[in-house]
Amino acid sequence: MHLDFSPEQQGLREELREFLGANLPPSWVGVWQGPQAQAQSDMVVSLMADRGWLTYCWPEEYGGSGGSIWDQQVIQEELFAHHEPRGSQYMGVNWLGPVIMQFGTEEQRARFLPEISSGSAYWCQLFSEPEAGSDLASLRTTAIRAADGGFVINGDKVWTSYANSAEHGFLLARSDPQAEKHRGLSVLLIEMDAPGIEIREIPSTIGWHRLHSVRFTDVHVPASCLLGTLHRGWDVAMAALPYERVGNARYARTTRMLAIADALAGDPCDPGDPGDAADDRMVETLALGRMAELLNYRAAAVRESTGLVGWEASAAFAANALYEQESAALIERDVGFMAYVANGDPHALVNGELESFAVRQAPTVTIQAGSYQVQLSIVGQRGLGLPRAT
Amino acid sequence: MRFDLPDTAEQLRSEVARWVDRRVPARGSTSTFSQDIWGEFVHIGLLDPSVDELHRCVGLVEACRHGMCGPVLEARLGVLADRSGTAERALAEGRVVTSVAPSPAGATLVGWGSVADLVVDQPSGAVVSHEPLPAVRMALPMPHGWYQRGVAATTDPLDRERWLTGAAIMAGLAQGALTLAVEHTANRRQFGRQLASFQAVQFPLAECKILVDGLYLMVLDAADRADHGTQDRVASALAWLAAVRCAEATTRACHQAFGALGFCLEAGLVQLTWGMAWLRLTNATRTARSYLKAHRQRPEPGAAPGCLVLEAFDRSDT
Repeated sequence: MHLDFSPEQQGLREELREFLGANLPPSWVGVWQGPQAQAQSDMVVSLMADRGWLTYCWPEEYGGSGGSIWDQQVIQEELFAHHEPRGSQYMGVNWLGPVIMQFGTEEQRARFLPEISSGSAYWCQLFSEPEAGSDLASLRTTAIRAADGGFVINGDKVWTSYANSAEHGFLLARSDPQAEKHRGLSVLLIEMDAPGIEIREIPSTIGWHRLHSVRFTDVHVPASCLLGTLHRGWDVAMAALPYERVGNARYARTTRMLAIADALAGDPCDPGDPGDAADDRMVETLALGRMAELLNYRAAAVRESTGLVGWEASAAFAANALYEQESAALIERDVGFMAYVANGDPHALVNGELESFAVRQAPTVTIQAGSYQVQLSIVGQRGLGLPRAT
Repeated sequence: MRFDLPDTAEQLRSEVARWVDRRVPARGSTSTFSQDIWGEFVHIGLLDPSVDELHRCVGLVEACRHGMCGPVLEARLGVLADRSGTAERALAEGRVVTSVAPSPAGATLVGWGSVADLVVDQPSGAVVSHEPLPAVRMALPMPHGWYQRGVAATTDPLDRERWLTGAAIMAGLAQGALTLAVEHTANRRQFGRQLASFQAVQFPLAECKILVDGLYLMVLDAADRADHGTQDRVASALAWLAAVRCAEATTRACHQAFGALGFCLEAGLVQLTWGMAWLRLTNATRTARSYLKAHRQRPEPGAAPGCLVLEAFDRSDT
């Protein structure tokens, strides 16, 4: 029992901080804040790939550096803390790559994994639909076998991040419409420029090109797109989702935002002042943050020891969500409406970093990765052994 | 980063778990104190000053799953405060040692004071009574006692030990309460279904599971830091604040899941939640907040802020 990073990992952290300080523009608040952000992200991704940091903990045969899961945790923390400069690349590293390693053919591994490792291709996840959100298995998009062995895709996906910039899509679709809803699904790795794909931005308050809808009209893809076994796509999707939860160091950004907000507050408080309720809330929220850190480390430790992502990842993600939303509320209370002044406005606090966090990111954390309630269901059933609840 | 406990700690945990399951009633007992069980608990050695904090905390979490069998925190602090060794010797003989926390002048509550053989004043370390204190009247028959403090003593020389030991005990009590609530909601049926099959019942329990597990990790982390002298006071104060959050949530969710039965002595829940209340209503929360606020480390102007919680505090706190 010793819950500290090694001196080597601390060294990696310092190196990353220096790198990000040198290569991120002061105005950087994430890839969803303006059209120039993607180019800035591309530059950072390229430099990280050159240093072997993009897929640091992947096996060397797939373009990784063979780093430990704890090295990767350090990388995730520092990048998430700086509004994830990898943009959609984080998906490739965190869950797409591991899932392709697990379910892909040799050809798929040879094609896609080096692309992810070098940061040369973007992906989007095509899961949610207008009538299938948290109840993912209710999806209606079809991928029906064509005469040539390929698939013809028809249907609508929605709330898709990165669809505007992605070359590839990780699509979950119904390949056997007659089968029971969790069966008859397949995962296809598709090209996003295929004829018949129509992408539309859904304007939102949470970021530029943050959300999209994607319409498929008689889109033909080859048989080689199939990932895993035909009609067993649910297994592939369920293997992917926990990776999304375990690799997500949102708590690190939250702690950094609290530090920034605290610095804005001015002089250190007088600990004897009975009126400093805001400072009381700050330290109590930081206690929740330490809890979130340790729950995330536990999830990583489970993955390290078993090779699997357990219910502990859901517990960690839920703790991240509680910490993030409590911190955002704290920041809102402290800085008032200034929390809503965005990057690009000369009066924005810290170039709009607090706005990006408190106004755009934190309110959505409980609807991500399946939703907060889905995480609680997983903890209830697998962590406590309770029955399926409705 | 290592999550595995040393073999000796695992062995201790198993031994304490077996003792608790065999000897400490989880439910059905209307008595809140047994001299015999207290003696057996002391004999395990978790209050021995020579035991390292990791082993002590692992043992205390396990020992308190069915409730506090006596003045666990008060005896620990009393032994530390009394430098004459009187309290340690009395405890070794199986006697009931308790202690008075810092407080304003006037009447103050002392845990298990009405069954105590020896009472130590925590701020001064003096033995202030060799006999039981007058009993406090309460809805749950907790054997607490009254002590009349002549002069106010508000500084806490044992703050780190109070936060860490208190958080460990709280983790055990919260685990116990959650276990009872899970068992109850899995067994009891309403509207033709198990209570636990309603999301409105299951979700709060799942949230408690997250808090209880998180608190346990914080306790072990703080204990390890105490043994190695790295930011142990910050980690202990954070663990205490997390313990209070966990206790409040667990108390609320478990009583709601039990309904009226949760307030009946035979269910066993109220003994656990009253134990949590006894701990969380001390002044440890105020001292933990004050300590953490005084040791916040704001980034220098122009310096990059860190992204880990312990970076937000100075490192000279050991």
